[in-house]
Amino acid sequence: MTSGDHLLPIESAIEDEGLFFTRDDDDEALRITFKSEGDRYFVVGYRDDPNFVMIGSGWSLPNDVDLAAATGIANGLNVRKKFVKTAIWEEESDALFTIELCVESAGEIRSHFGRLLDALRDTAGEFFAALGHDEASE
Amino acid sequence: MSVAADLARFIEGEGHRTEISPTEGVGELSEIVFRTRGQMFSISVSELEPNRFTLSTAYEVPEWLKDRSHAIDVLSDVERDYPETRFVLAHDDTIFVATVEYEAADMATFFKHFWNVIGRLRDAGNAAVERIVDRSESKAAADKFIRQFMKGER
Repeated sequence: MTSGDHLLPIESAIEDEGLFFTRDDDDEALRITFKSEGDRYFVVGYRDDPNFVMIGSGWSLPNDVDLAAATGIANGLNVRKKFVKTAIWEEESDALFTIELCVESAGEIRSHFGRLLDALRDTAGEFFAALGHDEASE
Repeated sequence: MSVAADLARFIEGEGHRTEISPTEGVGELSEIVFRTRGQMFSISVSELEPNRFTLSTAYEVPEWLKDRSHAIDVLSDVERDYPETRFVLAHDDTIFVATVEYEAADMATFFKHFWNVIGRLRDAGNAAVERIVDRSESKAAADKFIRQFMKGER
């Protein structure tokens, strides 16, 4: 296990975007949460795996959503999208949009952070448009 | 709480850092500046007209663009597609500013539509940039081709 905070460059990237953030670390994981245009995002890293970084957003699906249809839309997006993985957590009725990266340093992400946020935002937008819903609660 | 402070608090609640600067007299006209999706936006509001907001964002005109009249033509075209948006060239035509005047019934209504208004303003600005760049590049490529053609290089 390493003790370094390898998500510090992500904090800088979030500041570059003009956004606030909060930290919520524990013994195993490093976590950052932040909002952009009112939507909530997270960044996760693991102390024992400093090369792994996950950036994502999660949304609660409306009660009347057909989960099979939602899964079908997610699968379609997963085929088409370069960065973003869309997952339906059926038990929680949540949709999760994530980008998982393997990097030498999280500093490599900093200059591309805006693009990654756009990719997450666009994928969520496409998902809910295909589902015929406005974006649900986070 | 002033209208400007109320608006800044809303934007900060949405996750964005803001700066407020009074631009005219004490407590009259204020400008709130924030950044989203890599672009700076400013909102001007007067305490005397608390439901009227002026939202603006600026884009650079590409330095290599020789024909400024082309930019003016494009901005006029884009204004037809986005009739709520006004474009103005500024700083010796090195930038253009896209502006929307928004009058809301009240602050709550403005907040409800806030990101849609910002999104629409961004779309208008991006459309203008794309058209300025696309047509200039096409024209430059055509000019280059003709020059080469006339020299017998093509």
